[in-house]
Order: sequence, then C-alpha cells, then structure tokens
Amino acid sequence: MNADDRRELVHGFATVLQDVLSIDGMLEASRTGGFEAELRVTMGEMGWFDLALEEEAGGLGLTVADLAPLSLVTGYHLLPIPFLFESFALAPCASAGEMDQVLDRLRSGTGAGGGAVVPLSDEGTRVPDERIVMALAPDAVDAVVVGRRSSVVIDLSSADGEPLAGTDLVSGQTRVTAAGAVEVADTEAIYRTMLVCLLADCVGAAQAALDLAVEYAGEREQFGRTIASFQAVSHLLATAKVDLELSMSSLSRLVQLMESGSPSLDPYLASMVHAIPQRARVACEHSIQVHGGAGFTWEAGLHLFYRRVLQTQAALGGTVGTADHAGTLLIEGVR
Amino acid sequence: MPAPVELPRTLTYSEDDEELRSRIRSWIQDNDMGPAPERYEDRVVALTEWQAALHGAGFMGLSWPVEYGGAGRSIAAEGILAEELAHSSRPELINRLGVYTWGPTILDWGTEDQKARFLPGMLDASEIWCQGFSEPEAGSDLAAVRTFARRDGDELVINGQKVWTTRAELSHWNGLLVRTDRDARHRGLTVVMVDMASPGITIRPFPQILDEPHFSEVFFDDVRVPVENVLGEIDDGWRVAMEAMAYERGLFVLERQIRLRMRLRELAEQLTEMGLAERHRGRLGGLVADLDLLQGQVYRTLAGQIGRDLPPGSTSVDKLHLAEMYQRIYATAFDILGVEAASGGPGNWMHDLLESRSVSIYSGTSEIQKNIVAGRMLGIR
Repeated sequence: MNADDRRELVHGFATVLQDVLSIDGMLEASRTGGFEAELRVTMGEMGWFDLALEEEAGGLGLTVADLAPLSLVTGYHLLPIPFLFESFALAPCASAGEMDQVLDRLRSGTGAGGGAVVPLSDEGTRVPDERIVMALAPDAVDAVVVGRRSSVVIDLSSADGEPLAGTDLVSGQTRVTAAGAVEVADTEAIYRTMLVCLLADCVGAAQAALDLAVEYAGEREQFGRTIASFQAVSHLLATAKVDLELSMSSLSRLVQLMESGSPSLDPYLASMVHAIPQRARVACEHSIQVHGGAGFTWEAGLHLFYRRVLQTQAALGGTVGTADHAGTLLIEGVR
Repeated sequence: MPAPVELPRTLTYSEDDEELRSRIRSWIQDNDMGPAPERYEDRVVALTEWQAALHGAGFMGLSWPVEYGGAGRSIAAEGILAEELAHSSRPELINRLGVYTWGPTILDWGTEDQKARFLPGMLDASEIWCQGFSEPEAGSDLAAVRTFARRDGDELVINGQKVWTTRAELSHWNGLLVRTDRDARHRGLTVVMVDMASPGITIRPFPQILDEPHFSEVFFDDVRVPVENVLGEIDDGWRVAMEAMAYERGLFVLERQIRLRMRLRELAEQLTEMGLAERHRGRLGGLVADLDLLQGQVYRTLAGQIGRDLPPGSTSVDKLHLAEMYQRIYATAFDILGVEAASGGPGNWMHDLLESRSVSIYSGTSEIQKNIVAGRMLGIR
C-alpha cells in the first residue's frame, strides 16, 4: 500500500466508526454488553486485525504514522479499547510468535481478545507470575501483555480472570492470573506503537468531549445569552483546546521521532505518557463543567470520554508514577 | 462533528541542516566569549559584540534571502542556530526583536528599498530594533492605539506616547503602530519604522518589577518620518502588526523553551547536590514533561511558518503554554528551596520568579490569548 492508500484506509475506518458508534449505543452496550460481536465482524471484514501486520505476513503494513491518526478516531468514537490491543499488539505479536491460530480467531471474528501494557517505568512483563489488569472484550480468548523488551500472548482458557468494575464502562477490565503465556521477544516497536496509539486515543476521546461542550455552550442560554458568551465559560473551553493542541502537536513529534529512529524518542515518550493523558483528562473535566448539571447526567455521556481517558491514564502508569519516571530520567541525565 | 483524522505537521531537520548544526557547534566551541557581564550596560555591549561575531561567521539570517545578507535556507536552519546558541555562554541575541520579528515581517511586507535598507543592520546588530505597540490606554485592547500620525506631504507627523517599550534606549529603529484614521478602528492603523534618533522623541526609563531598566515610556512630539518608512499600506497596519506578533511566537518561543530546559536542568543539578532531587522527582518530571509539550508545539508552529499554513490563532497556544512553564518552573524552584531561593542563593531563582510574571502579560496577556483561542480556534463569538 502506498501512503495515499493507507490514508484512505484510515479515513474509511473513520467513516465506519462514525456511522456505527454513538453515545446512546455505548450507554446501551455498557448495560447489556450487546454490540461488540456485531462490531467485531464488521471490523474484521474491513481488515482491522491486519492493519499493523507487515505486508509480507499478509497484513496491511500500517506503521505508527497511520495508526496514531487512526487512534484519534478510535478515541473520538469510543471504539472499545480491546480492539486497539488486538490490532496493534496482539496480532503483530501472534504473527511474530507464529501463533496462526490466534490470528485466525481474530480475523474470523471468533476470537475476541484484549490486552495491557507494562508501564514504561517497569523493567519487564509481570505475567504469568503476577496478576495484571487488562482491557478485555466480552468472551475474550486471547490476550497480550505488551512489554518494553518482550511481550506475552496469553491463552485465556488457562487463566483465572476476575472481572473488575472498571472505569471504562464499554471496554471493561479484568484482573488476570495467567498460566499459559507464550513469550515473544523483541517487541519494542510494537510496545512503542501501542503507547503512542493509546495516547492518541486519549486525545481523540477528549476532543470529542470538547466538541460536545463547545456545541452545548453555543446553544445553552442563561441570563438571556448563550453561556459561551461568558468569558468564564469560554476560557474553560479555550484552556481545554490549548491542552489538546499541545497534545496533538506533541503526538506529531512523537511519531516523527519514532519514524526516524531518533535517540530522543524514549525520553520524549516518557514525558508524553505523563503529559498527554493529564491534558486530555483536564479537557474532559472542563467539558463536563461547561455542561453544568447536564454534564453530570448519565445520558449526556460525557462520562464515557472521561472514563476512557482515566482508564488509559491509569493503565499507562498513572499521574504520579509517570511523573516520577520522567523526573528520574531528568535526574539521571544530570548525574 | 467529524473526528480528527490527521496529525499536524512537525519540524524535521534534513541532513543538510544537521551538517549546519555541526558547523555551528564547532564554531561556538572555538569562539565562545564566556558569560556576558551581569551589569546591564556592559551586558548590552558584550551581547552586541557576540551577535556581530555570529554574523561574521555567517550564522545570522540563515533563512533570509541571500541578497539581503541571509543564507537562503529554511526556518529549520534558524531553529538549529537557536538550539545550538542555547548551549553557548551567550544564548540570547541582543537584536532578537529585529532578527526574529521585524526582519521576517519586513521580508513579507516591505518594499525592495526597505529590505535593502533595514535588513543588513539587523543581522550584524549595528541597528537594534524595538517595538512600539502598547500605550497607556491601549494594552490588551491594542486596536485602541491613539498615537496619531498626520500626513504632511511626504512625511508623517507623529504625536503620542508608547509604554513598556523593551530596550527603547538602545534601539536605533522602532516598529511603531500608529493611528492614521480616527474614524476607523482596526482599519485606521499603520505600522511605520521610526528612527529613534529623530527630533521629538523622548525616552523615559520605566524600571520594571526588578528595578532593571529593560523598558521605557517613549514620547513622540511632532516626530517627522518619511512616508517611505511605512511598512505595508497606510491604514493596513493591523495585519502587519498581527503578523509581527505571530513571528515573535516561533523562533522566540523555541529559544525560550531551550533556555527553560537548561534552567530546569540547573534546578535538578542543584537539588541533586543538596540531596533533594529524589524526593521531588515527581514535580521535576511533571515540569520536564510539560516542557516537552512546549517543544512539540513550537516545532509544529515552525513547520506551519515554513509551510505558511498556520491555523488562525494557533500561536496563542505557544504563548499561553510558554507563560505557564516560566511561572511553574520558577515557582517550583522557589517552593522547594524556600529561604535559599528567597535570599538570592545559587540559581538566582527569586529573580527569575519575579521576572516570570511578565510572560503572561507581554505581547498579549494570557486572558487575551484565551479570547483568541476561543474566538479563532473554537469559533465562539
């Protein structure tokens, strides 16, 4: 595929996700667990699970330069997070580890999955020795834990799972203690791609919340005028916009550093894993605030975007953990 | 609303740019003049000497056309110079307002005669520039400028007062925003380049928060300026002024971002020596991460300046985040070091904390920047 074809593919997915996913649908699905199987078939038919596989391995060969913009879209429309793990990490790891049955299950829509990332500050994967919190699809059969140097693919039929309440209502979370895990070596590129895509997904989700808030502020009237005309409100929105612009610009730099194999990549990635989820989180908080009482309701659905960002922030190491890690890199550079 | 499906462009350096980086780095190693003296007057002399030396080595005006004394390269080359200068003893260009702001603005709006006349002197620092925008009654509301220029044949006759003019006392030229039509607002403004040695100009130092003479009030009493010094068209100065301010947000922010990075590193070093770094690593990490956001943002702005496709209002993002970083970094140093910082200990953090209050005020306050973001980027009216 050339660059134009890849771009067209990304735009194609954007259109489909916009048509298929909606806040009302998400709210419904979060109670019934209903729509995932149907969505899985549609996505599989469009080649979702082949996106990050190399062309020699029968995939579409998209790199982070395409997958990061695509992840803006997944966050914006709240595609359940397990889909990202399946396409950007599980499939490439299964391919690298020659686990054809995992790939077949994904492609045929018969094998849902999911995964988790090991935070940057941790040295290696912790599975199968420790329990790990994962984003798993309902009825997931395969999962991946993506680590910096190596990853593991887990056969969930041999694992103990303990469903958790979860922050992200749509994706759900499960604490897994895995017995049957297959290690895949040299997955650093997959790991970095997964992190960048999760960051882009956060930005997309926060952008959707902000778009709703800007629209609402332009329509909602109090004191005889739209609330957007009050500076106290417009400055909240502007602050959120600034946070997301900074994040978008930095995602571009991150992708560029990754594509060029720059030595500056890892420290920059460590910074972004802290900064971007935090900015996205604040943008969601401002968007809820601007909606006033409506923002606090279930049906407005702003909480879906907020939950999404919170869950990813926690999964990437949390505010305190990622700040400590970035600070350690600074101090070690000084020593 | 459709989801965003594209990431913005970002600055990239070519092999040619990297070769330039090696040359600049090597030249700085051989020619670094050491830190400029603390005393303001001596500092000005030293920094002027440094910029002239950089010009002599062929490193000034890297992105300007060759015919005006430049090197005909892209803005990326200027980025490299700013990044390498940051590692020298004298990171600041004395004539940065000329080189980063007025030079590029003249290149866009100036006549051939104006380019030939004004650009070379900016590069070798033989002619220092200042910017005369703000007035006592026109701060945030810049379009309320009252300083009036009356046409008299081939001359403009200027009367009025400017305030907070940085480095007015050592400037040879002033990019001045004046009113030329009292019946219009934005469409009644003009930018004119004024010789600061002209009769009728009075400069009164206006000590700032640190009691340093960095800016002044400037009074204009029947100051005569040739009409040929108007930049752009008469009554079309608002667009020229806005572009000048946008230029100020590209390389200027890059340079500041690098300086802040070095100061944060100094803070980490100081805390490490005092055995405090580990305890405060989370705060340091939060700062370095947010500073990296600023780097991402300014690289995007520079790419937009190269491609001439900056979204309207986007440089306000750079300005807002720059101000946030200045104030947070110095406040953090002060908060951790306490009396050590307050009593003027190593690092001079107290000085910079006080000075950092200016960043959310100059060149458009943070409140005005938010208005711009809301209006131009979010479409809120």
